[in-house]
Amino acid sequence: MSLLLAGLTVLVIGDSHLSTKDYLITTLHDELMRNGARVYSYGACGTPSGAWMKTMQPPCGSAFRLDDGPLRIRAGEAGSTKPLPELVNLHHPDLIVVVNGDTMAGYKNASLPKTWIWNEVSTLTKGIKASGASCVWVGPAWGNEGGKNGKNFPRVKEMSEYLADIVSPCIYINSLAMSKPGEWGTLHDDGQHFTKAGYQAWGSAISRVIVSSDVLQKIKR
Amino acid sequence: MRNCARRMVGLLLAATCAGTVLVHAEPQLYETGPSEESSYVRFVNATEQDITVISSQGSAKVELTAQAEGRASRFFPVKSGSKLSATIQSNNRKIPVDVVGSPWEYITIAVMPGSQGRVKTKLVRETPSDFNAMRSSLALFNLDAQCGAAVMQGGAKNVTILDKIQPFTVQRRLVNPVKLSATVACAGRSGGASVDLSQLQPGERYSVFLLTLKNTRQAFFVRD
Repeated sequence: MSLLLAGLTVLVIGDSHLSTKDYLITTLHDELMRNGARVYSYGACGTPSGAWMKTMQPPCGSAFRLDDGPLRIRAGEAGSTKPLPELVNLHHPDLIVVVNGDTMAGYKNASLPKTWIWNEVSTLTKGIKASGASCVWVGPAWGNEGGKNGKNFPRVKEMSEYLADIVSPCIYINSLAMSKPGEWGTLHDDGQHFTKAGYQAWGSAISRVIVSSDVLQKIKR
Repeated sequence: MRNCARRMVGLLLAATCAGTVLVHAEPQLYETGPSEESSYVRFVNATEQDITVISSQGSAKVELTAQAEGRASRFFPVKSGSKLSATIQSNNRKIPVDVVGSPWEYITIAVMPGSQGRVKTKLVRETPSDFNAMRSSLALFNLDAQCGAAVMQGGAKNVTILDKIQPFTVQRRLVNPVKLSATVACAGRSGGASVDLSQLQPGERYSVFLLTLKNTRQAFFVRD
């Protein structure tokens, strides 16, 4: 239990890392609850940040989990998501946690699509700013090189450094500092999505940073 | 046997319904990054008259005045590599303009005074990579053909912010989000124009334009 997090309402939104059982929608959600927060988590697989400002049908499904309720996974039209302003009206979060990076890094592109990423990220950060909630932004973790997603260490590092510059007013949480490259196991021929142990490690590490971050001090005041 | 068949039908129905809420054991793979590359195009009226920009299909019109920020349109996204065609109307005269953008290129189409009351266009292209949510991005566009090196100075100590900007080119840099008044001038020549950008906002992008009309140097700014 964290004295700073206890009693706060946390809204977690993100990509595929929050769209499957035993991923962050399980591990991070559990950790934040264990620290005393009311937690509402939504994942939209394969979507960039800006998509959260409108209703969308994610290309590979969605999931949600409302506080201590069960995980719900949806696909196709049934997987259409609610835009951020609607989620904010529904849950009145003190803190919004965004987990998004891999879907925008263009791992197979010759260069990082900076302009497009800026447009996507600032679309969402403007919405978060308008909501009045505090926020943290969790960047991509190392993963492994060589999978079908094309994830590679130089690009994930470049993406993480770029996100740190552009997610304000959210506080950036650097997932690369939580492990060594390749330390957390990933699924076969994937490189991007972790094994259960990997998601447990990532979820715990993110929760530790959130609990220790000065963003919670600001909310309490 | 009949009960067994009913159970089978029930299971099949349940499976059909479950198909609409299909559960994946793990996420499908997907492409990361943009589905297509874009360019961005805007129009700036650097003449003394109001102008109208008409899209090639005639379905969209943009009116640009000859006053301060009313001179500039917003940036319109277009698919990079595709030709954008438009017509510019000024004083009941029309000129066509075509432009093709490279990926993530920002193109400013400046409408300039031409000969015999006509207008002409000049393109200023930039592909920025200085995006930052904690600082402000400040650019100076030199739309004065006679000014070989535009310069912007400002702040409490009147420091040089941007300089050596050749005609129909742009320079851009990140600055702290402070309250800013600046002077835009042409190096080596008298007579600068002042521009008050007020309180710069973090994450915002600003374009300052230098132009000369009727031998008077002018400057105005817009948020991109």
